[in-house]
Amino acid sequence: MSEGPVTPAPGGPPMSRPPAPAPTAPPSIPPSRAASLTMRHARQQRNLAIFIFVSLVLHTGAVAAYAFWPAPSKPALNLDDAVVKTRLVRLGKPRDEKLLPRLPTSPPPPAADKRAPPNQELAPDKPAPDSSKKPSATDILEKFEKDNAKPSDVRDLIRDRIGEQTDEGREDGDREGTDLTGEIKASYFTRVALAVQRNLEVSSTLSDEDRVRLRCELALTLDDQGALVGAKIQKSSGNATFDNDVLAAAKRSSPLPAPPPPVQALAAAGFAFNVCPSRCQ
Amino acid sequence: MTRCSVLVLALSLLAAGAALGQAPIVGDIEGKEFRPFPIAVTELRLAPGAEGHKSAAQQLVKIVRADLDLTGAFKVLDPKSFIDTDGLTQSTVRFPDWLNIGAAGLVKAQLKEEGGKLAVELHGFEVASAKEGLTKTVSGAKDDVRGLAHALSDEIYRYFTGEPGVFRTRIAFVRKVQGEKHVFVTDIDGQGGGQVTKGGGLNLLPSFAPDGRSLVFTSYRLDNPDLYELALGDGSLKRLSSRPGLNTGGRISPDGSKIALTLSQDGNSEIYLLDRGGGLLKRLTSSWGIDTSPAWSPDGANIAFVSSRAGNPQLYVMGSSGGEPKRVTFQGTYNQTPAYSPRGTHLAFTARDERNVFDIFVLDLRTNQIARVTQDQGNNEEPSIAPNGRMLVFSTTRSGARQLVVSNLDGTKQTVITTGGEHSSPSWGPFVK
Repeated sequence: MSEGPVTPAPGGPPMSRPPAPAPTAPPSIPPSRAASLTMRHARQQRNLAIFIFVSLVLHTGAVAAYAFWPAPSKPALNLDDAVVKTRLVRLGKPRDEKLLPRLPTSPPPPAADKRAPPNQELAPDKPAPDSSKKPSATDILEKFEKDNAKPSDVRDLIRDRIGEQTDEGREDGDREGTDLTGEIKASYFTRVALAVQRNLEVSSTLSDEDRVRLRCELALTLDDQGALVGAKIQKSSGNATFDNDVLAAAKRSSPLPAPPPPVQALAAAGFAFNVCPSRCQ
Repeated sequence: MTRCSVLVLALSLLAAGAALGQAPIVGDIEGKEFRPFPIAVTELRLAPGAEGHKSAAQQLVKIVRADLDLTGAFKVLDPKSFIDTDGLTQSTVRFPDWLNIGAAGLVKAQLKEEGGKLAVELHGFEVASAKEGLTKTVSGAKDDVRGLAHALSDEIYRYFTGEPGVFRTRIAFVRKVQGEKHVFVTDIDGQGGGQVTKGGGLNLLPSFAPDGRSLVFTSYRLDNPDLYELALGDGSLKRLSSRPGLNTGGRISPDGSKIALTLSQDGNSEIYLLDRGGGLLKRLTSSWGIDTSPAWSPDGANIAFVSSRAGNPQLYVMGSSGGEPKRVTFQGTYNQTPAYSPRGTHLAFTARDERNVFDIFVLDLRTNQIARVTQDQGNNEEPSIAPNGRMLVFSTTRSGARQLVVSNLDGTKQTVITTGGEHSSPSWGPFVK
């Protein structure tokens, strides 16, 4: 390509370049290339305008959608699915292994009053209150404060509400302060099993052998709200009394926890539990 | 786990279950609570010709209801809630009526007179499944309504539990009578029976022979605590051991051939073995402490006893031919009066807890776990386990004078079966053969 003199492109901005030194003169742009550059520049201008316009439309739309889109009727995160009832218990001091066991349900016997009975003969005579004397303002104030005295601290409040606390908590208390582990919390089926277990009362007419040996399969079908649609003994234990106890427990447990969406299909089709009188081995 | 993977898992389970035609197993449910079995026992119908036995019919039902209630395994429903206008057989019983009042079991019966005896046609139903599983006629002498009632209770108990009832077994015990102490025998509800020893001043620590036909006990009738055997049939008395010092706590072996007892003839209380005639077979223990209260295991292979060789009374088990005893209690500082369960897996015993109160405990010999039966109800002592292993009897001071209590093994159902006087040292007899 030969180099020619630089000439301003038609329609382009004026070129105000200082004259180049003689030995190294800048190459001149041919007219065809100048026209190409001008066209490209114009195209870029047009594209930029389109981009800005589209961007403005999209952003405006997004803001409008955020502002005016109707709120979903069902929250994206169903907190009910994750709610697990827990009970905080204080970890109990283990009972001395050398002591005999005590039944947990029995109330403690009243503490024996080891104080010596008051010696009536030696007790100084209290001055009899003078009923004729009118109480002073100070007396009235003292009585008012005494009658309306507030518990001095939280322990007093607890004692007032639920009685005297022992030094020991529950022996089966959890070190983490909860009754259930995190792993169990997450399981829907575990929540269903616990709900049925709470209502399962096994007849005490079962023999010792049956208490260890029996096992049946309880099949449940639920609707999306957890209501019991069907309950049946899918596989009998062979003991009608136990089977009936299990069915009755299932019916008493309705409504069960609502199945989360991923489990709803299975809940509608039916799922089953092994049920044992005391321990499934 | 993501929702997607849960969905995949659920669908997989569903597919697996569908393939088998059954719902897929997703977990286990283990029972925690045992509750008494709700049972309705209706009034006895009187068959044509038995109209004159209305009083016996009423007494029969009353005793049967009390028997079932005594076990703690049944909750006998109040008859006021019964409609009871339906029939006696499966096709004529209106099961929904009984389901509505919460009955799980139903007992109906009809009293007849057959061959000069009372005969009861017994029907037992499982209400929820509308099933009649018990149809039997039980008869008894007209003058033994209590015996007939207990026989009915045994049938009902066996049908609903699958285990034999103990309503026709008996309990021996000591009762204070005008400054003396005598051995009595009674039904397990504390009714019937009566005094079986006469004279002798103090008659103590009775124990049934395995066949239930005789009792061994200690008596001071010759001014020494000697061991005697009393035949319950003819009342004949035989002195088995009159060695110097104590001859107490006699227990006949399950095969009926030997007697374990405490003798102090050598200066210290030790466990000895006698033959059934009272001849000395063997000294089983030898320690500086007091060894007493032998109890045979049901198979006759072992003897549990109390020894203070460790410094305070604890329970030990040794072979029935002697040998090194094994200590089995390590909780508490005063454990005594062991009694084996019929399967040999448990020992009921008396223990004094840290509050200086005597209570009943049960030791599981397989796990060495001790379960408490009584608490905060006076002093409770000297347990003896029923031959079906589901109940025990012991003495209590919960209402002042010492009385006898029949209880289930976990202590959730306790019934005082005696009134008035002082009662102690109960011994539950064997099944009636």
